[in-house]
Amino acid sequence: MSATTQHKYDNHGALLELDTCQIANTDVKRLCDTGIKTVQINGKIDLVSDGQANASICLDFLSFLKEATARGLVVNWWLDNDGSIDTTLYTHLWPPLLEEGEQSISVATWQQTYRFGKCYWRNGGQFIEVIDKRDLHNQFQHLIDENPMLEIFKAAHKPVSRQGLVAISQEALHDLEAANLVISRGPLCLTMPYRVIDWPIPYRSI
Amino acid sequence: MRCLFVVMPWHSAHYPALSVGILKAIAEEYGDQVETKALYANLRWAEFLHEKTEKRIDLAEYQFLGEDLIFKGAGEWIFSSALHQEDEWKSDVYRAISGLSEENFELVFEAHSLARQFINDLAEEIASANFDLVGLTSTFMQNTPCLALAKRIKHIAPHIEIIMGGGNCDGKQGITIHQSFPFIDYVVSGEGENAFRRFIEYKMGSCRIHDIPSLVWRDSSGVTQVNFKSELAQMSEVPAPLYEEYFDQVLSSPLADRVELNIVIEGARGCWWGQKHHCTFCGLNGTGMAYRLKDGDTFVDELFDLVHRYQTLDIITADNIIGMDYFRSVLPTLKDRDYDLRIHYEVKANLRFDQLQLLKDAGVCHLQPGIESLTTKILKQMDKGTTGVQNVRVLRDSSELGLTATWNILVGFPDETFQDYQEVINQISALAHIQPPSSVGRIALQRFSPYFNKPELGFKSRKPASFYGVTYDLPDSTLENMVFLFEGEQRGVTEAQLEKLSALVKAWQKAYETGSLLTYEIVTDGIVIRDSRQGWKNYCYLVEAQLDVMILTETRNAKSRNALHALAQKKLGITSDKIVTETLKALRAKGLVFEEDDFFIALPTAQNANQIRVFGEVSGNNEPFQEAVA
Repeated sequence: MSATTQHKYDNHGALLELDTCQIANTDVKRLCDTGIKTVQINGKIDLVSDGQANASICLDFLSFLKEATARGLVVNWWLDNDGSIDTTLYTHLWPPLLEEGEQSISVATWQQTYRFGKCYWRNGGQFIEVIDKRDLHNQFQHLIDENPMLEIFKAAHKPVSRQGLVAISQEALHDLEAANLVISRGPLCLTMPYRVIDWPIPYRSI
Repeated sequence: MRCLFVVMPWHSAHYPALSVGILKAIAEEYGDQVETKALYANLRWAEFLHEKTEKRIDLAEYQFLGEDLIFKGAGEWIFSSALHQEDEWKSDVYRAISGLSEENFELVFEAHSLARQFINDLAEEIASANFDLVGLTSTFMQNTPCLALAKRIKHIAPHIEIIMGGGNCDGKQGITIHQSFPFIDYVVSGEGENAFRRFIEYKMGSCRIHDIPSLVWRDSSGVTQVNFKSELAQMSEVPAPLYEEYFDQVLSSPLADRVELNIVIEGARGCWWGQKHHCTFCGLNGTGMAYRLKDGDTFVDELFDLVHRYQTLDIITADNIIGMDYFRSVLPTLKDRDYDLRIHYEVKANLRFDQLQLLKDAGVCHLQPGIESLTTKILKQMDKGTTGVQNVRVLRDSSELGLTATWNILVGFPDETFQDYQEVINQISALAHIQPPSSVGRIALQRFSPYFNKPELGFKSRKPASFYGVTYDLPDSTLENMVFLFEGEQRGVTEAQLEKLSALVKAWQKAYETGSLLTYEIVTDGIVIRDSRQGWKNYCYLVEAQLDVMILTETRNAKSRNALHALAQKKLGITSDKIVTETLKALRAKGLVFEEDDFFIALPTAQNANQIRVFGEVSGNNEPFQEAVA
C-alpha cells in the first residue's frame, strides 16, 4: 500500500535564501531546473537611491527579478525606502512583501497590479517587439528595428555602464528612457522588460 | 488583366487569408501581365459594424458571430438580406429554428439589418475600380457574403467577371453553386494553384478554357460545363503567400489595437492519419485527403522571410496535422534560431514527451491535439487511433511544458451511451491540474466525412442544416449538393446527459483556473508528491513503498494492468496480482493515476516545470498574485 510521511518534504529543495551580495552571480535558470520554486532575499532592496553602491545592488536585483518573473519563480523580498517609488515602472515584476504590521501604499499598489506578462520583449532576429502594459491607460507595442536603439536595448539586458550606452547614441538612450524601457541608477542602466521565456497558459493571455 | 481578390466575412480579423496570399504570389509569376490586389472586406465589415452600431458590435462580437455561431449558421443568415436585396429576410423563421438566445438573436439581427447597405456600398466601390476579374474565396460561413457581393457587382457592372473558389466550392458544391447563381462566371471546384495558373494563361491566350483543371464555366449557350478534376497540388508548386494588403489594412484600421496580428503559413495539406483511417466525423479535408508535405528547408526559409517581412512573431500553421518529418528537419532548426516565436500547430495526440519538448523549444505554444474524448470506446468509434490514457498523457505533458492545448469533447456517436463516460466522470476531479476541454458538443454531420459518405455507420437520414433553408431561396435537393453541414438523427447521449457533461467540464475548468497543481519530485527515498488540486487535501507527502514508486514511474507512459503485474514480478519479485491491483486502486483513490479501459497513466507533473497560468485580462483588476506558478 502507499506509504506516506506527512509534511516531511514540505518545501524540500523548493526554497532558497539569498543574500543581496549573492544576487549578481545567481543563475536563475539553474535554480529553476533544480526545482527551486521560491527565493527569499535576505536584506531590503532600495530601488530609488542613486548612490554608486546602491545602484549596483539595485540593478543587479532588478535584473535577477526580471528573469525570476519571466521563469515563474516566486521571490520573497522586501522594499526599502519606498516613499518616493513610482510603482508604474515595476508592476510587471514580482512584487515585494510587507513585514508584519508594516503599511505601504506603494507596495500594496504593486501587489494589486502585478500580473505576469505586463511588460516583456521578444526576439525577432532583425527586430525586437516590446509589449508594455504597465500603465493600463497607455498600453504600447514597440517595434525596435534599427540601430543604435536595437544595440542599446540588447546591451542593457543586464546592468551596463551608462557611459557606454551614451557612446553608442545619447539620443536613442534618451528615447528608451523616456519610454520607461531603460532605467538609470547612478552610473548604470538596465532595460525594464524581461525577455519572454515561458509562455503562460493560455498562450495569448499576455 | 487586373484582378481583385476579396476576403469576405467571416474570415477572422486576426490573420490574413492563406488562399489569397498564395494566389497573389502565383500572379507575380506572370510579372506585369497580371495585376492583383487583395481587399480584406472582412475587416471593412467589422469596422462598418463597429461604426454603425456605435461600438455595440466590436471586434470581439464580430469574431463571436463568425466563429462561435458557426453551427447556428448566423454568418450565413446575416448576409441573406444582402443576397436577396431585402431589408429583412425570413427573420421570424430564423429566430425560431436557430435556437439563439434573445440577446444573441438581437446581435445577429442587427448585423442582418446592416448587411445589405454594406454589400451595396462595397459593390459600388469595386465596380468603379476597373478590375477585369473579382476573385472570391469561400470557406465555412463565407458563402452568402461572397454570393451577395458577386450578385451586386454583376448588377452594377456586368462586364466584371467573377470567379469563386475555396472549401465551399469543393467537388459537387462548386458545380451546384455555379448552376444556382448565374452571376458567378467561374467556379474552381478543387485546389486553386494550378487552376489559377492555367486561367491566367487562358486570359493571355495561351491556354484553352477546357484545359483549366477543376474549372466550372458556361458555354456560349449558358450551359454549365465542368472540366476535368485537378491533380492535387504538390507542395513544391505552392509558393509562399503575400500578405501586404492585410497588414496595411489592419494597421490603418480603427480596430487595429484589438487585432492580434498573426502570419498564416502552410507546411502540409491533407492528413496522413486520415489517409489510412478517416476519422468518422471529419469532413475538413474535402476531396484533398492525400498528405503532402512541403520540404522542411523551404518551409523554414518561408517562415523567417514572412516573420522579417511583416515583423510579426505569431504564426498560425494551416496544416491539419504536423508532418512527422518536421520533428527531424523544421523543429530543430527553429529551436536553434532562438527567435521568440509563438506558433500554433495541429498535432496528433499520441506525441511523446520529447516530441512535445521539441515543439516547445521550437516556439510552438499552442497545440490542437485532436483529443475529442478520454474514452477509448468512443475514440474507436471515431477511428482516432488513440486511447483515453494517451489523450490524458498529452494533456498532462503539455500542461507540464506550458503548452496551451485546445480541445473539445465530442459526443453524439451512434453506439454511445452515457455509461461510456462514467469512468471518466468518476475520475474527473483528479484531472483538475491538467488542461480542461473548452466545451462538450455534439458532432456535426459534415460533408465528406465517413458519417456522411456511409450512412450505414449510423446516420441514415439527413438533411441540410436548417439555417441553409432560411438563408437561400433554393430547394432542399439543391442544398443537399451545395452545403457543408447537415443534420442527422440525434445519436448517443440525450440532451439532459449532455448538459450534465457540460456542467462537469465547467467545474473542471474552474478547478484548473484556480491554480490546481499535482507535482512529483524524485528523491533518494521515493517520490515527493505535492497536491494542491481543488477539492483534494492540500498537502505534501512522500511515496516510498517500492511498488507504488515503480507504478508511478512506469506509468509516465500508459501501461495495462497486465503489464504492471508482469513488471511487479520482474522488478520487485511481487507475484501476487492482488497486491498490484490493490496498490493501483489506492493510487487511483489518491488521484495519482488515471485508469481507463484497464490502462493506467500517472497524473503528477514534474516539480521543476514552470507552469504559468494567466486567466482574465492582463488589466490588473486588483487581484494580486493572480496566476498560479508551480
